[in-house]
Amino acid sequence: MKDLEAYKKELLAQGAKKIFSKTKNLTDTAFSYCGGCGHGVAHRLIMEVVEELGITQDTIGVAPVGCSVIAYEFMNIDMIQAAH
Amino acid sequence: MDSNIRLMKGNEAIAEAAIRHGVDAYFGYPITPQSEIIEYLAKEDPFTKRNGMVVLQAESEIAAINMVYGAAGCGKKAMTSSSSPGISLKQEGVSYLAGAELPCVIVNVVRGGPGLGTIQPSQADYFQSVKGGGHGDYHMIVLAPSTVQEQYDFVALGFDLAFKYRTPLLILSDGAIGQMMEKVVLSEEKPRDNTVPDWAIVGKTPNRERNYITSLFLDAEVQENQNKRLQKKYTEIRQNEIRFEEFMTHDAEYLIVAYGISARISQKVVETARNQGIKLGMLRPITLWPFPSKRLVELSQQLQGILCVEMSAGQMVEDVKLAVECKIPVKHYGRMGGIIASPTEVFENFKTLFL
Repeated sequence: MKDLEAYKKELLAQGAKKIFSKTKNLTDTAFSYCGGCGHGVAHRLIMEVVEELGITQDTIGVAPVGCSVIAYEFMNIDMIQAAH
Repeated sequence: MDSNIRLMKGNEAIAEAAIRHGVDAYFGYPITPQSEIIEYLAKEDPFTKRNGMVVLQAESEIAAINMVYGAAGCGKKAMTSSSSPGISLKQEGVSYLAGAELPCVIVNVVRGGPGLGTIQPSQADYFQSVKGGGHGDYHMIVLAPSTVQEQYDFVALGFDLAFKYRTPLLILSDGAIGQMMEKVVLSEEKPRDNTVPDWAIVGKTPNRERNYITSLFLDAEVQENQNKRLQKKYTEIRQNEIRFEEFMTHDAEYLIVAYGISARISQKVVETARNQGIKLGMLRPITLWPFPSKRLVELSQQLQGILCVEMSAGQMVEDVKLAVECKIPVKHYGRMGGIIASPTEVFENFKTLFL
């Protein structure tokens, strides 16, 4: 397997520009959702939008019931779990 | 005239105490015999006319307790109140508050049950209050006022204890104390405090880790550790927060154990007995959980018997028996269905049971 950090440096040295990176509003915890599930994508999109709008410190997430009840493991914002 | 002394209903005292103590929010839903709490708050309109306290009539009792959960998660002082059937509806929320370790004050102005029951006073929600009510291993601190003044004072005490231990706290009142009028000495009005605890969810700032409020621990070992943490907290509360009052116990040979309105009646019973040369005393638990078991054990050394006076079929009597390990006779006397026993009636039954 390729050393990703080394490969990144190599590309940057060749003049590549960084045009996309993971939002700071997601933690580094790997999503626990099943293959094909859209939850991970939905989490990412919402967290990207929150960052883009600059409203992280005005946002409180509510984790619902079901697989995404542990959304606070992935979303790097203040969160509260809702009742079942 | 001192403007800080007022003649108030027990329910009104709770409402005024909430405003004066700087409570941030009250969420409720009307039910007899506690509707004066929300009525008084709505009339006072503290949000626009006093200190900005939020008062909201929710669409149901369940909505109200979940609003409390949300506000408490934000680190705010939030409270709700209801009477027995409404308190039953709130139990899921109470369990979540306990599990997520959120502080709040809940008031139950008890009426007769089960079911829709009656609107008259009762003490039949003791088991629900001190043994759980909702699901899971948890306790609430339970304060039992027996005067309108205590209805007032226990709001501030309740929030202090709830925040100290991060736990929901119940004020277990009854329809009699809620409805009766007495003199109340009011405290100075405090401004609401805008600071929140460091665990509160207020929006993550870059200089700190995220906060999250949850009662979900999917991994069994993590859940057990959380249970152990809660139990450790309950042990600490048992060690530090037991409150009770004694009346003529120094030489007592018999003891009445009673709380709330029953303690008021029982005090008269003790006076009657003393006038007839019977050495009767009274212990009034102020905290029903944690229960003053240790003091009962100490007193039991000098006693020939204990009478529990409760407006129920006999609930607290079980905790008294557990405390003294049935080493001395422990009996119960009480009326149900919203009927308050008279002092004469209690005294006659005391004599029949013990003398």
